[in-house]
Parts: sequence; C-alpha cells; structure tokens
Amino acid sequence: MKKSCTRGCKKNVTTKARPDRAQQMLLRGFLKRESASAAGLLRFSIALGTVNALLMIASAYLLAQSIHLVMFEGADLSAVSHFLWTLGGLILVRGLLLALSQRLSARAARNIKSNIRANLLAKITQVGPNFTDQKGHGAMLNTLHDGVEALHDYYANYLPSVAYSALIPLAILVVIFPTDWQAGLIFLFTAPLIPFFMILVGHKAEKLNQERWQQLAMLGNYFFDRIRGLTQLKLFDATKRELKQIAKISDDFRHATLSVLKIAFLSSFALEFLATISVALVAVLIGFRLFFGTLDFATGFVVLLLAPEFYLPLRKLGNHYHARLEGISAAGEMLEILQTPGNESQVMAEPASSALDDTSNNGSITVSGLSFTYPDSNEGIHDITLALPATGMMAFVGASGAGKSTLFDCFLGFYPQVISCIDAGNGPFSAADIPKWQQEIAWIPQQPTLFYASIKENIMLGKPNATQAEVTIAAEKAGALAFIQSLPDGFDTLLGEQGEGLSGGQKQRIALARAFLKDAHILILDEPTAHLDSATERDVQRAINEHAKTHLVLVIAHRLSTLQQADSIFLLEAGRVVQQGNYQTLSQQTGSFKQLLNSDTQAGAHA
Amino acid sequence: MHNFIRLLRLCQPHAGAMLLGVFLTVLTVLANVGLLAISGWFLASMAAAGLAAAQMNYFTPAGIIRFLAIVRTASRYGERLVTHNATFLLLSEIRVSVFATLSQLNNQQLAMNRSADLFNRMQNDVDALDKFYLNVLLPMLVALVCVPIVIWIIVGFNPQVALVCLGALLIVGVGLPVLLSAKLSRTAGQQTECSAQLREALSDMLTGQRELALYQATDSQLAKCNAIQQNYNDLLDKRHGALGDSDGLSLIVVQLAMLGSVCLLVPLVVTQQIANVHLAMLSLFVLASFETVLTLPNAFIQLPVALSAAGRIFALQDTLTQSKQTTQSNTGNFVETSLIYEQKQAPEKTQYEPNEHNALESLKSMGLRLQNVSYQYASDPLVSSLKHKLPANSQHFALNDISFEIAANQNVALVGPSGSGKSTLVNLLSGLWPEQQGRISFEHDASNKSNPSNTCVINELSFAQRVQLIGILAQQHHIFDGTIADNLHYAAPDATHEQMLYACEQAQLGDWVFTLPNKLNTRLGSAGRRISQGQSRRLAIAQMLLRSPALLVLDEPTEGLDNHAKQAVMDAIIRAMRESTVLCITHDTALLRNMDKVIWLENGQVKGEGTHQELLAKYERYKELTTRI
Repeated sequence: MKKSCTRGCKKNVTTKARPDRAQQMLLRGFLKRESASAAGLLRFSIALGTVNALLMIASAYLLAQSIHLVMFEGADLSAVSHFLWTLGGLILVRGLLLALSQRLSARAARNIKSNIRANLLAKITQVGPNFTDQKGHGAMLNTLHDGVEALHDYYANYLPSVAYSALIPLAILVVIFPTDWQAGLIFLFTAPLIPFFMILVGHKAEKLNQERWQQLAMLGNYFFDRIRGLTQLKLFDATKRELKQIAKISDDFRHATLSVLKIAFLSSFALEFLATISVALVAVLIGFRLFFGTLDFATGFVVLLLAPEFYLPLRKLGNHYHARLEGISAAGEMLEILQTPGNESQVMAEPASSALDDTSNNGSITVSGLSFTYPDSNEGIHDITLALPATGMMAFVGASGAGKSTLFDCFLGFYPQVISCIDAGNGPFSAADIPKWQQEIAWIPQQPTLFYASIKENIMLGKPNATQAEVTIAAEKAGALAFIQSLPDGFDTLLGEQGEGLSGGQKQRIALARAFLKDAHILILDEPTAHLDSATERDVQRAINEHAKTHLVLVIAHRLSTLQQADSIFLLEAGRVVQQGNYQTLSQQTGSFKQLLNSDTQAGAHA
Repeated sequence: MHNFIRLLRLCQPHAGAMLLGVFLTVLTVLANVGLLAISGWFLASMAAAGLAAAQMNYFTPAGIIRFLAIVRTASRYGERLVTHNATFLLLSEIRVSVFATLSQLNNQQLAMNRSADLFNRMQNDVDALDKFYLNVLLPMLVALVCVPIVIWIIVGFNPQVALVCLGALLIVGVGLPVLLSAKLSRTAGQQTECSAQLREALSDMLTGQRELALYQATDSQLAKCNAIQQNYNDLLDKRHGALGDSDGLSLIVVQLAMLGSVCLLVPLVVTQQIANVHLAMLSLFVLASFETVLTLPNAFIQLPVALSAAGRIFALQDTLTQSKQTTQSNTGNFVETSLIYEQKQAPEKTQYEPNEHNALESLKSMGLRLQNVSYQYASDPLVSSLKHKLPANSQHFALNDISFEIAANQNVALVGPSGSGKSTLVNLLSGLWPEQQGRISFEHDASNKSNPSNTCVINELSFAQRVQLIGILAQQHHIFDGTIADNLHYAAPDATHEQMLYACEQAQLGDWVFTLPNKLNTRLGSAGRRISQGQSRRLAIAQMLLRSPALLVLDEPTEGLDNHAKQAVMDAIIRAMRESTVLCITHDTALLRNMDKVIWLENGQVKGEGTHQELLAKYERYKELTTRI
C-alpha cells in the first residue's frame, strides 16, 4: 500500500475554500442532527440561561424601584429592605443558574462529540483500510481528533448564543412595552438594525476577516515549514538569508493585514456604534421625559439598566461567529466520511462455518481466477490462480507495482468482494468467513504498526492469553529478546509514536515476535530490505526458514537468499503470475525471472 | 517571574505601539464606565429637576453622553487596530528570535533528526507567545491603570463604597482567576497528556487497521479509544465545571458589590449626607467599574501557559549562550565546531581569506581524506532520545578509527547494513555534528601529501566555506512550501532562470516542469502541489547541480523509490557525478556498478574496499548485502 504521512503533518492548517450557502445549510443540518443525542441537555441549559435572563430583568425592576423609593419617596433602608433582600436572593440564584447552564451546555457538547467520534470510528472500521489509505491517515486523524474537538465551541457556545440572541431581547421587549412603549419602540427599531448593518458591512468584512485568518495560517505554515527544513537550510548555508526573509514576510503580512483589518473591524465598529448610540439615545430621551414629568424615575431607570442587556446577546453572538465557521468546516470532513457507501457485505451475519477444518482436507489452499483493480486506476491483479501447499516457503517476486501487495491484501481478506476466489478445501469463502480465515493468518507488513502500549502488549496482540514464557520464546525466535532485555524496562517498555525510540529493525522484530506468537497456519510477510543488521538478519532468516517447515510462509522477496531457499517462486508482472517454479528451474529458463536475476547479479557473474 | 521579565524584555522594542494600545483600551473602558454613570446621574437629575420644576442645564450632560458614546466606539475601533498591530510586531519578533536560536544550535543539541515532536511543541509554544500581549499583558496593564482611576473617583464620593468596590474588583479580577488558573493548570497537564493519548490511540486505530482486523483486535482497540475518550471527557468536564463556577461566582460578587454599595448609600441619602442623585449614579458606576477587570480572568488563565511556553523557548536560548561561552573558554576543543556559525580564529581565517576565492576554486578538483576518524555518542541529556537506539554498553563507537581516501573526481560508494556508521559519517561531513577524533581533509593531489598547501582540513573552514564545498543530499531532504524556483534559490540564491531550467533538465525534471502551467513558479509543498518522492529527489539533485560542490555526498538517493522513479533519479545522479567528487551511500546495484570504488562499512569500521565486482567476488556477505530484488 502507498505509504502516507501519518503523524508528521498534524498541524497542516487547511486553507480550504469556504463552503457555499447550500453546503452550509447541509452542514448545519448535519450538525443539528448530530446534536439530537444531547438535545434535551442543550435545551435545558438554554432554558436555565433564559430563566437567568428573566431574573436579571426582575432584579433590574427591584433595584430601580428601591432607588426610586429612596431618592424620591424618602424611604429609608428598612423601608426598601424587603426589595434588597429579594434582590440578594435573586443574585445568588442567578449565579447558580449561570454556572449550571454553562456546565450543562459543556456536557451536552461533550456527549455530542463522543457520539460523533464513535460514529466516525464505526464507519471507518466498516468501510475498511483502503478508504483510510485513500483519504490519508494524517487527514483522517485530524478529523477524528482535532476536528471533533473543534465542535465543542459550536455546541457549547455558538448554538446557545443563537438561542439567547432571540430569546433575551424578546423577553426584554415583552416587559418593556407595557412599562414604557416609547423606549420599547427604540429597542424594537434599533435591534434589527444591528443584524442588518452587520450583514451590510459584515458581508464583505467577514470575507476579509476570513482571508486574514487564512493568511495568518499561511504565515504560520511558512514559518514552521522553514523550521522543519532547518537542517536543509543549514546545509545550504541559507539560514541567515531565511531569517531576513521571515522578518520581511512577517512585516509585509502586518502591513497587508492592517489595511484589511481597517475594513474588517468596521462590522464590529458598526455593531458597537449602534448599541452604544442606542443606549445613549435611550438615556437622553428618557432624561427629557423625566424632566417634563411624563415618566416616573423607576421606569426610566429600569429602561436604562436593561438597555445594555438588550444588545448584549447580539454582541456576544458576534464573538462566537468564529466557532460557527470552525464547526461547519470540521463538519464538512465528517460528513464526507459518514456518507461513504460502506461494504455492507462485510457486516457479519453469523459466525463463520468452519472453513478451515484440518480434518476435511490436507490444509492446501487454492486461489482461482482472482482479479482485483483499484476503482480509480488500472493497477491491480488479473486472473491469478495459485495452488498453495500446507507447508513451505512461497516467495513472490516482481517489480514494484507488479501487484504483490495487492495480491497479499486480497489474500488477507481486506477486499471482501474477491474473497470467494479463495478456497481452503471447504468450498469458496464467503465474506462471513473472513474473520475466521484471518485467524489462520499471521502477517507482517513492510512497515508494521506498533501500538501505543508496552512491548509485551504489542507482542501479545498475537495471542492475548499468552504466558510470559510464550512471549519470551516468540521474542527469542524473532531475534528480539536480546535488545528487549537490554532496555531498562524490558518487556514493559512503553512504545510511543509508532515505536519511537526503536530502530526499523527492532520494530520489525517485535512484529515478527507477534506473528510467531500467534502461531497461525499461514505466515505472510513483506521481507524487510534494509532494516536489519547482518547478525540479526541471519538469525531471523533462520527462524523463518524453520517456521516454513511446519507452516505455510508467503513472502514478498527482496533478497537473493530468500529466493534460493523458497520452495516455490511466483514472478508477478503487471498483475499476472508470469513464471512459477523453484530457483533452480527458473534461473535456468529464459524469461523474466532470469532477466530480473541478471540485472542484479550480472556484475557478480562477470567478476 | 524570571520568564515574565524576559518576555517583557522581548516586548521592549515595540513598547510604543503596545502602550498606545493600552492607552486606547483604557480610554474605551473609562468612556463606557463614564457613559453608564453619567446616564444614571442625568436621569436622576432630570427626574429630580422635573419634580422640583427647577431649571437645569441638560445640554451639557446630554452632550457628554453622546460624546462618550462616540469616544467609546471610536477608541474601541482604534484600540483593536493598534493592539493587533502590536501583536503582529511581537509575533515577528518572537519568530525571528526563535528561528535565530534554532538555526545557531547544532543538530545534536536539538536532537532534531529524531524528534518530530519538537516541532509540534514549538508550534504550540510560539502560538502561545504570539498572543502574550493581546491576551495577557494588555488586560493586566489596562486593569492596573483603570482600577485606581475608578476607585479614586468613588473615594471622592464615599470611601466605604470605594472599599467595597475595590474588594470586589480584586476578587473578580485577581482572586477568582488565580484560584481558577491554579485549578486548571493542575488538570491542564493531565488534559494534554490525555489528548495525546487519544491521538495515539486513534492513530493506531487508523494505521493499524489491517493488523487489528487480522488479530481480531479491532473491538478492543475501539474500546481502548473509548476508555481514553472517557478519561479525557472527565477532565474536560472538570475544566468546564470550574469555568462555569467561576463565571457564576463572578456574577454573584459583582452584583453583591452593587447591592452592598446601595445598602451603604441609602442611609446617607436619607440623612442627606449625599445628594440623592448620586445614589443612582454610584450604583451604576460600581456596576460598570467591573468592565475594567472583565478580561483579567482569561489573562490569568493564559499566563501560566505563556510562561511555560516562554520557559521552553528561553531554555533553548540558554543552551545557545552556554555553548557560546564554552566555546570561548575552550578554544581548540572540539566543542568549537558545535556552534556552526562561530567564526574561526583569526590566524586560521587569514590562511584562506586573502585569496579565499582562489583557495576555494582550487579545491574544486580535490579529493577527500579521512584519517583515524572515530565518533562516539555521548550520553548528553539533549541527545537522550538516542539512548534507546544504543546497545546496552554506552562505550559504543558509531565510527571506529575510519581511514579512507577518495581521489579528485572519483565516484565512491559507501555500503553497509543499518547501524554500520554511514549516517554518522554523513553527519560529520555536513558539519552539523561536531567532530570528535581524527581528521577529515580535502587533498589536492593524493600523490603529493607532503605539500601542506594542498591540504585543507575541513574542520578549519568556516561553516559557509564548508557548505560551499560539500553538497549533501540528505535522506530527509526537505522540499519547502514555495515555488520550484524558491526551492532552487535556497540552493543557489543567484541562479538565473536559464540556469535553473538547465539544472532541472539535467536532473531529469525538464519534461515535468514544462508540463506545469506555471513552470518554475509552480507552488510545491503543503500549500501547493504534492510532488512524488522521485520528483522531490530529482529536485534535490537539481539543487546540487546548481551549487556544483567540490564534494557531493548522497545519502541513499534511490531508497524508497519505485522502479520508474528510480531509473530517472539514477540518470540524474550519474549525470551529476561527472562534475564532482562523489561519496554515495547506496545499496543499489545499478549505482554501485557505476562507481569507481566501493567502501564497505560494518560496525563502524571499514571491512573492505575495491570495485563492486571485486568485492562481490571476494566476499559472500557483501554479495548478500547488495543483492536486492
């Protein structure tokens, strides 16, 4: 399989184009559907937040009334104490409600996130490894990890603030109108102006703002790309030049961005301006009505207290706008994964029939008429027919791209659509037999995966209930025991990122130990080319040769010695088996094998 | 605290812009506080005047209200521009300084080849520092200026209210945030760790999908992911819980402060010790005064993050200063070379400087000579990540008394299994790792070793000269995010368009470049076009061709390529080899056959030397080593 960048590209900032309006609708629909699992929690949180706002309105009335009584009705502290006590009580309740509402919305967001992640994982498992390869591991990992986490602000902050920006101004209007319809009218008319102006100014400004973020991301990309390539720059003696370049680019960016920001900030300028001027206007108008005695002070004061609160939710919504964009762009990638048609056939209906009962046959396996081509290319394998014995070493050889890996993937059951071409003696396999079939195989790819766990756990993947003695024997067979024991923590050494800290050969040997421990009927391996040092290479080769006496070993061969020791060699060319036989026979025959051999050994032959 | 001061020093060059930002923010905040307080006073006065049917100058306060509203909006706009400008200035300052530090540390000090993690950490650290001004420094300075002003005004009316207000401001602005930040930073470490674990588990899930299926372990890996996610969620819950609680508590403190002030003021109004209109004004003033500390909680939460990021970056700078000092105190020691930009001592320099150009020119057709070169990995903490790779005995020599010669314009291959010392040798030649023992020199004529003027010990060259003479095509060759021309210009800043095209053609890239609509101006890298490994290798060769170094070192140039790409790369290499002395690490038989000589390394020692054919005939082990199908 094509090797893809797995972990290094973690921080690639995607500078994707923004989804258009229709896509946004689609994605918002998706995000809404996904929130269903915690909709109750979210609604409860919003309800608490709204009650909080109602209590805020009540507090404003209480405060205004108290101050009015003291100022103009000559009341003393005891006369307003019942108001003030109630106010104190309301304050405590409000604090409680605020904390609770925030906790609940955070909890709702985390439930939704967990749910989405579980769905994504289930889907990825269902559609199989080939899909992951196509998409790229790095990109998939980003979606699964950071992408899902990016939804937090969308659910915990943005969605509630959308609700508040409708509910709270409405609540304030409802109470203001009966009290003072004139102030109510000011609110009513200025409130829609805010979104209106936001759209008017914001449409362009928001685009500019978006571009600024992208530019900033690009600047960051540039900087970190140069740091990643620092060794390269040193080798070119270009670090000093680059230093100037970084300073220059940063400065150019600053100038360019500031001229953009002048416009981009206009939208928030308009918002602030309207909100502030509205409050000021309300204050002045009420002041004059108070002066002419057409309004009592308590009402005027309430309106003044509520005026900033009226615009607050709208202003907060602006702050969460970024969360909305991030959520939507993360959702795009998730939807893409979730909408991939799955291999329904791979869903196991019932436990497999005993496809590989040793009693019913001699353990030989036949592959007949196996063809497989990748959906978007002509590469693949065509009409492969093989008869494999129960034991012995079978070497597969051919140029890269000849189809060796594809053939192995088909054989391993990673493409359920072609599994029926394989027969282990009880008739062709069906998709339901795959798990059973895979139990009969141990496999070492060219770049084996070491999991984030201890060495022991990594080896025990081959046999979860193995004893320490079994693990040790397997490790010894694989030539891994010596170096494992030389580690301070031995078998309990924790492996980090892809076995960080181990050499290629060491990883290979741990994978080999895992395969030996499984002790399956069939061992399939992609022979390592350059990872092993000479002594270990010999030991490992010997262990595999020994294994082949009692098991079937299929190997993609890269070494002459492997070919010489193989019981049978299959030469692949352009997806077809063109020659088959043992080393002696094939090296005598004129044909591709001889050519292949000569291209590499002719120098030796002539010497 | 120490790091905080160092951070401030980093900000110093842009103090003007930063202080202007503070000034405008203060103006915004105070205008808003004033707006609310004066509105309250205005309303109360107008009501009082209306009741008393007295005359009142309402134009001035109404004017002030409108004025403050405009000041607030305008200064808010200006403040955002100015503070962003200051942030960008700081961003540039920090990045330049980090880059300068990194570029001066040698690769061993950075343990760079091993740890991709370093970059990810660094990225987070630099990001945290970029926002230091906007998120940490600015709110603190603004609060520092505004709070005394606000309190001073309230004292003018009533000291007791001022005291209540000050107490509440301190609780909301400092007390709660500090408690919160302590609480968060306790779980922050766990949270990062848990997040990394989750990433690992998910990544294992993706990369190991085939193996998990084969070992029937998919479900258990899914369960593992779920369990880690559960842990992570618990930590997140703690965090959000603490944030929510802190918001709730802040609300209570702010409102109670206002309530307390009202309770204090009411008796005074009743006894007419203060004017009744002041009650309305002060209660609003107290409420609005909390805007001065509104952004402080976030600042206190960000502060430890910024400080620990700063700590890590300053630690790198300190490593640099230390090694500079060591260099000064032990000249002559090998540490000297550990600083690649350290200028050579004057006497050595004058040896080449008067006619440096000529000296370098004459080196063009020189051979390479290694005499008794040894290298041993130190147990330096900075290279501790190497420890795992070493066998138990730490006295391991990566290179053990190596001597060989390459004649001028000779093409030599280096062959050996992994761990035989090939890469160490390349690192020594590159000058990115310090030499330890032995002598590496350029020789003008191998037959005339007695003439010292024909010998040039590479250790005595400046790094710039060394780089000019030795071209290294490393295994992890980096293609930069930029155009093809940008990438070529890194190798040769003065190359003309024609030269670049010619180099591309020589490197077998010509056909490809001409199919691209933008030719040499095609963007490559993460933000541009993805290029294949074969193309990237050939681009590296084009870079080398533009440099035309005296010695060309190729580290496994055909490794990992498919046959088609391999052929093209090989053609490019063979073309490049005509011009210079070449040292090429390879196992590729086609390349080996084209070499004048092969040096076979095993366990850090030269095991054999001769042509490919000679070695094949002589050693069975060599045949095994080089036969790959």
